[in-house]
Amino acid sequence: MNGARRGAGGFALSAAALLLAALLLRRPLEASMALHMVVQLPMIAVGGALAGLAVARNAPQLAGAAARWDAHGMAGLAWLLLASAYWMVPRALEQSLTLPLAEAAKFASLFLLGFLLPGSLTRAPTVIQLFFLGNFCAMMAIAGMLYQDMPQRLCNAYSLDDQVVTGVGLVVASIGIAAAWCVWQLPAIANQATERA
Amino acid sequence: MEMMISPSLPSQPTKGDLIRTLVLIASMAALAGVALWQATMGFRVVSTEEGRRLAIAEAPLALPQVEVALPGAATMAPRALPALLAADKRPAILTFFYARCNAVCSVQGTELQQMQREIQARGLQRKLRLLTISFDPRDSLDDLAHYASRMRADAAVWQFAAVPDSAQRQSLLEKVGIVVLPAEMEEFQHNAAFHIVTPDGRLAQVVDYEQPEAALAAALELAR
Repeated sequence: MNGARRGAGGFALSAAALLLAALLLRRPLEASMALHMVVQLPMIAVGGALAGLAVARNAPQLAGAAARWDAHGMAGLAWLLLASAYWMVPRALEQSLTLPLAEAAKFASLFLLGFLLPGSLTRAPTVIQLFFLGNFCAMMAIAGMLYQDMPQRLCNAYSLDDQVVTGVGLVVASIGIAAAWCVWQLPAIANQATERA
Repeated sequence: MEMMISPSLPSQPTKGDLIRTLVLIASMAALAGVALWQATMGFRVVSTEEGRRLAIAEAPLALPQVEVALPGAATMAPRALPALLAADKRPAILTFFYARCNAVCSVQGTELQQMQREIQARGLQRKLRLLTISFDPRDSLDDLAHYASRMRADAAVWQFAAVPDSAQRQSLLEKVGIVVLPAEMEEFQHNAAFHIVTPDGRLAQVVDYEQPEAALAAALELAR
């Protein structure tokens, strides 16, 4: 219990550090489309995930209550698709530069995404993980390729070169996430297969 | 049946859990849908530039009261932009540029040059006019005059202007939705387009800079 508490403290501290950095370094991060999408947005989500892990360690009963609303992890994974799709719309992303409400919504939606995701992933069977993460990675890769192929700028605040770099970043991120999932899940799948055989 | 499943086994959700989860997913989807409706202006645009053009087409925009200066001895004193536009009964095709530009505004400049030729060839001088405003504080009125002579601009058809006050310049760009990014080699990257302005000085339509014929047609429609 003590160790778990200490771990939770570490998670909470790193979550706060990440979120604070994403907030305080807002100007420089958002000055570039690539830093905005490939660095700041994941920072907020990872900050949320660390906060989620801290809460799960500190208050397991709360995590149990969350499970009642997140059968098979589907709610958290659905939010992954919805929130990530939304912030890949260029006009939505650019609104976060000019509208404080959009900026607040960006932080809130991605924090929530990260907060829910670790629990959802532990609850979700492999098939459901595959469905949602497969969709997520495919969507991000397609957006990344579109960003690279567009002859015109999608955001007035960002240059065409920046847009191409962002596109590359999104494709690399989607491949990276897919690969990480495989490394994480393949042993379990292999085990299941041998158990059945 | 539901009672037999222990709440300590989160991997075995009850029917109630499933219903709650589906309700939550539906609310999340509704929330995201409303947000997306807003961000895409009713699923019609993806980029900010498309949004700007659609918003202006739906609700013509009154141009702000900024002081503009024109090169040439006849109009030395700065004048308010809406008054300047209203003083001329012709609709204007308004463009924004900077005189040093080697990229998109030189394309636009060539297109404007051809447009001027077209206006003269078709005898449309009395129907519409061209107005080009610099957003570069380094552009002096002399620079604009030089550029105009380089482009062989006919002052009766094509005029140039600067906004000397930097706060006013910024407010004009913001109002119209022009975003100017400093780029390498002291250049700028900016959204270029033809802005069709009514004779009473309202911005009625934005036409892509690759479609000068459409810009001409849109301005002619406003002319009477």
